[in-house]
Amino acid sequence: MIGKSRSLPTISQLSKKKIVICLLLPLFLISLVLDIIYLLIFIGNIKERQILLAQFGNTLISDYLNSAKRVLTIAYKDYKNSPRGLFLSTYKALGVQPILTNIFIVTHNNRIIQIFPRYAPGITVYPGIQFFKTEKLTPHNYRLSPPFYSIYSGTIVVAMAAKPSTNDLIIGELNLKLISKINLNQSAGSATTLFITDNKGNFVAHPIIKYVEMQENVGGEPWFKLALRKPQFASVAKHLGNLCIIGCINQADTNWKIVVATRLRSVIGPIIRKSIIIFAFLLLFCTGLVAITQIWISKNIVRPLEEIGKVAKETISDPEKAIQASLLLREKEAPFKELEDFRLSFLEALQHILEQQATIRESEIKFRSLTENAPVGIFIFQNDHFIYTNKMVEVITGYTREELNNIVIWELVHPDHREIPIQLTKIRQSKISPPKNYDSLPIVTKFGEVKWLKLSVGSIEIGGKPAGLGIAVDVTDKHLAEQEKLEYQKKFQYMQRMEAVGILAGGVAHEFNNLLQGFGLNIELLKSKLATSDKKLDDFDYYLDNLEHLKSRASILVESLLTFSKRKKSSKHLISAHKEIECVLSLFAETFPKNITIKSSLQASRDAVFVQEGQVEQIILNLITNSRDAIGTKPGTITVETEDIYIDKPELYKVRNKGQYLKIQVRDSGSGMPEDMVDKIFDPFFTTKEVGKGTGLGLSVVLGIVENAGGSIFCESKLGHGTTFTVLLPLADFSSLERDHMTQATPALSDTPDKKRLIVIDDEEILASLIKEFFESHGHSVTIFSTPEDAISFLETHPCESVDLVFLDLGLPGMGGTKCLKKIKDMCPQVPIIVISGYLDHDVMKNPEKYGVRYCLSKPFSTLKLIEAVNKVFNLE
Amino acid sequence: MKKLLHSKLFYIFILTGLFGLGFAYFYFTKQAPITIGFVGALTGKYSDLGVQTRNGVQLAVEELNEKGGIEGRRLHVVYMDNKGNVQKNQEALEQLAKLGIKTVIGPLLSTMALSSVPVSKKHNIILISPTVSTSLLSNKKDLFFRIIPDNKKRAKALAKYVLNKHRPRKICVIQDISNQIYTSDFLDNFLAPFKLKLATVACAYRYKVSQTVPYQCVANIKAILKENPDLVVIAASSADTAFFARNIWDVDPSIVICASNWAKTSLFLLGLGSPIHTAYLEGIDSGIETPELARFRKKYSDRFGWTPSFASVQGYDAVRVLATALEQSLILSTPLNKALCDIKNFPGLFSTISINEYGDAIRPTFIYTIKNGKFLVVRRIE
Repeated sequence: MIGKSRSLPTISQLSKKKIVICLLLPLFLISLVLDIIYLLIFIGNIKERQILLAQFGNTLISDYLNSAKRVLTIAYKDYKNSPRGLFLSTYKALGVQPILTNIFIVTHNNRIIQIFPRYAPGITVYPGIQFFKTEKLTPHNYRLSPPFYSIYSGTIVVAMAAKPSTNDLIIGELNLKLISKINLNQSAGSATTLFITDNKGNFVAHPIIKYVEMQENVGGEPWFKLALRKPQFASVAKHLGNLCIIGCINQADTNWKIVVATRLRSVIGPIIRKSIIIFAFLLLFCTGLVAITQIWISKNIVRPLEEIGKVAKETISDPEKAIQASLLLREKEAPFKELEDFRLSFLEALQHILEQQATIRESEIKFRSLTENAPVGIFIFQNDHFIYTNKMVEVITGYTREELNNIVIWELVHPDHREIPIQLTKIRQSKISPPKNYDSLPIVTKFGEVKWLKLSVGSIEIGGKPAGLGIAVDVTDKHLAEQEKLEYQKKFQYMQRMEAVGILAGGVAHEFNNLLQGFGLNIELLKSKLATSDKKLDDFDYYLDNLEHLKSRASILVESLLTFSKRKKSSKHLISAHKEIECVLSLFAETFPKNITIKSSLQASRDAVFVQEGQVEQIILNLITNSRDAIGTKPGTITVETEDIYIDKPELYKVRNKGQYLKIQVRDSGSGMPEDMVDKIFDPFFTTKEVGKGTGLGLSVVLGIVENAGGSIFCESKLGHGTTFTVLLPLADFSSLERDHMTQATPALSDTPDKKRLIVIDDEEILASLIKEFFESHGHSVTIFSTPEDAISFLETHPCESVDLVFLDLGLPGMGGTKCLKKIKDMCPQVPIIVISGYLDHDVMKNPEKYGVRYCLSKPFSTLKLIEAVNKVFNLE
Repeated sequence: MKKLLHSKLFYIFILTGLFGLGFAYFYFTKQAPITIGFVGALTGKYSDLGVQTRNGVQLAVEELNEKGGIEGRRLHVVYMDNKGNVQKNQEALEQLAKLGIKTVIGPLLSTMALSSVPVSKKHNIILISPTVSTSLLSNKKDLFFRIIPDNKKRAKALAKYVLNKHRPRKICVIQDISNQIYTSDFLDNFLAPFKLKLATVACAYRYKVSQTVPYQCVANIKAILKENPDLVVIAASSADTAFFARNIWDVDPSIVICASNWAKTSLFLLGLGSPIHTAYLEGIDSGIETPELARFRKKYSDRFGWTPSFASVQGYDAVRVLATALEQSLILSTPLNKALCDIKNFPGLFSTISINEYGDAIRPTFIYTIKNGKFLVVRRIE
């Protein structure tokens, strides 16, 4: 979703706004401006009217004052004519128009006589006199007092004084109520008042008589101060707290101000009302216009657009519906050209979008198939979390997709390897980075299993932000295999070294064997010669026996080395186990550390076992060596015990057959082993020692010897309680073996009627000469060839029948023994060949029939073996 | 809406509006006028007193506002006409109370003052009278303040002066009982020293002022003169006092006339006519035309076209005293009544004004006689 539309106004709102801004508001402003202009003009007219009204008032006032003056003149005349008279003319005049309420005469001696409304010549105190004390009056003018309260009139009056004669002053109190009754309502309306003030602003006349009675003063109002300076004044000003249009003129004789004031509110009010009516009409008109416009817009623009919008929305949510809706849209024509053009463009765009949508869907299906079925984990991460994982990721990690979405990605990584992944993840999420490969990264699955993954991580942009895209391959097996391989390589290297040592040892042993061969033969021959000589064998027997024993010991050692290096296949013999045990204990006990005590208890009544010579020694030697290592530097004991037992359930003891067995137990007080290690100790190369300190072959060799002998071996061990090895070897059955192996009579060379012609091909001169000597002592002829070439040359030059038997050493220089053999067989196929060699692995030694060899003699061999071989060859003939 | 909130113009507009509102608030609250009331007889028989006092108040207020008002606040006065009627006076005060007004200049007559005090107490309104001098309201802890000393001291001072100078034995009393509270108070205090000196009140004429000129009283005057008094004490308005004095002197010019401050006006001098014989009055006017007084008289005449009377001056001074107290009250945040009591030696147009803890004025008293048609100070009593 691109995003929700901002709170934009609808077309209806826009049209409304436009009508208001572009039509209603301008109309209103124009109307307002016109009203203001009208108002200003109107106020101007009113100002003029005010002046006119004031002038009208002035005329009335002037008439009034003139009348008052006339009355005063009449009153004075009456007084003069008849001081105590009836003042008829005065009464008559005031009866018509009671302009004056009281009339006084101030005489030359300042006596005040009231002459109207009654004649009171007595003591009269007239306050009004104070206003005229300093006035300069002449017979022709008059003066007016400010308004004051007259106790005679009982109201506020203005006293008018005139000086009709030099000595007398006549004062009349004006009836201000008459003036106040000037009504302008008919001409100017009730909002307009005409009032009169003196030149100090004291009200002389006002329709609201209260202002006169309370002697209110407007002298402090700003308009009055301005009006004082001008004979005619008109303005809008504040009067008695209200804004008024004031027109004011000066009454020339009295300096009174004739003022006409109209409240501005009353003037503006109607105009405002008119404006409101006009505005209301405009509003109504615009509202109607808006309504009509909105209806039309709704029908002809909004609805079609909404339909198009609906189709567009369905395109997103349900393409099928969109297709159907677009078909409907195709049939509907827009009411006007612009919308029609838009409709057509939209349909075209929609078509294109639908096609693209189909393509995208297809693409998405393909993508999903690919990713979901991929044999590798595919994931996308952003904001430290997975936003997509395929099925394989679930399989690898053990988490479901939902769980993965809630995990911070590096939490899958093994805690010891998180640091770098966290940093790299952060970087990849902050910017598009080049792809990176990780050969192996350990993760911890949901079930706690550690797996190694090969990762390839790249960058992708999702939602406008960088994200990581990764592929993970489970290389746990490979990793472990490699680790194992490394281990094996190490061990193999060690093995190779050992093998090299073995080969070396084999080589040395072989060479040593050759020496021993000569040594042994010489001893035999010497013994034989001594036996036939007159010398006493007993004298030399001891030394010869020792030599023979030492030769046997040396042979055994060599045999062991060769066995170890797998160069010789040894033969089994009936061996006294006790003898070999005692031999080992006596020989090696001395070499053991002093903290170890070796005990033995050989209780078995029978100890003959059928094994290769030295094997029992090897078993015991390996076991006590392990015990020694287990005890270490602490004081300890190694105990070797034997007993003979009968086993009737061989499967229980993992032996082959029922019968009598020799049970050998080697027990130590060492550190013991954990239970899970016990099962592994017989595995080849299993060792708890450092590389170089032990090959791990000792017990596997023991196992091999024991199993080869038809026995079994058990180990019992407990940490801190020592270890006990129990070896079961089948005791030898003398009835079957005695005949074959127990007594070994010295075989004799079979007598042959004729002397045989033998050739010996061996580069070992001593051995060859000894063989020659032996056979010649029996009447045979022997020819020695030290090189195969010589032998071949001989055979080429002599007929094959001249040779009865060939002794061929395989280890010859020149063409070598094997080639020589082939040549001889080619030349003289009938001539029997006995092959001599110290290399048990030689193919000729392993498969003599293949090469036409009658017999193989492995060095070192005794004369007995030699005789046996010859007898067999000649007996088979 | 978001666009609006991001619009700088919007914020400028808001800030301007807030600033304007704040300015308007401070301006208008600061400039909110201080509204006080005025109550007096603006119409009716005592309107002369009321109007003159009002005009003095008006002039003082205009002057004050021209100078910037009190602590920047204009003074605005609501004028109420009590028509010289007790009930109307109380109604006027109630109406002022409804308007929230807490300070009123007035009333002007002692009768009105007595009925005003309970109303002022009820609504906690401070009354400052320019002219009420009844001693019945003296030495009382109330909300009634005045800038004119009470009758007791002044009347006694006049009596003592006359007693010492003329030693009259027979006294006649003329009393306007329309303003009985004042006139009785004056007469009681005036006559007290005479009683001690064994002078007798031989005759009395008590009348009620009507709308008409009391020329009907002439017969009554002649009747009391038959008692041959040495002294006639008149407690009446200036016009009435002038009338009575003229008629008395016309019969017997040797009679000494004593009158209260109520009569001490130019009208009295005018009404006396001539010749003027021995007359004494009391008042608070020092008789010295100070520059401030001369300036006031001119300004008043120019403003209203009238010569200012005693009431005008008192009205003017009342506003000035009140303004001073208001200013102190605003600056020091003290109650107004306390600020009024702190008025000491205020330079009034007639003489210095001090107000004691009871709200009573302490001013010098002056005894006047008439010479060459003018009042002449013959004694000053502090």
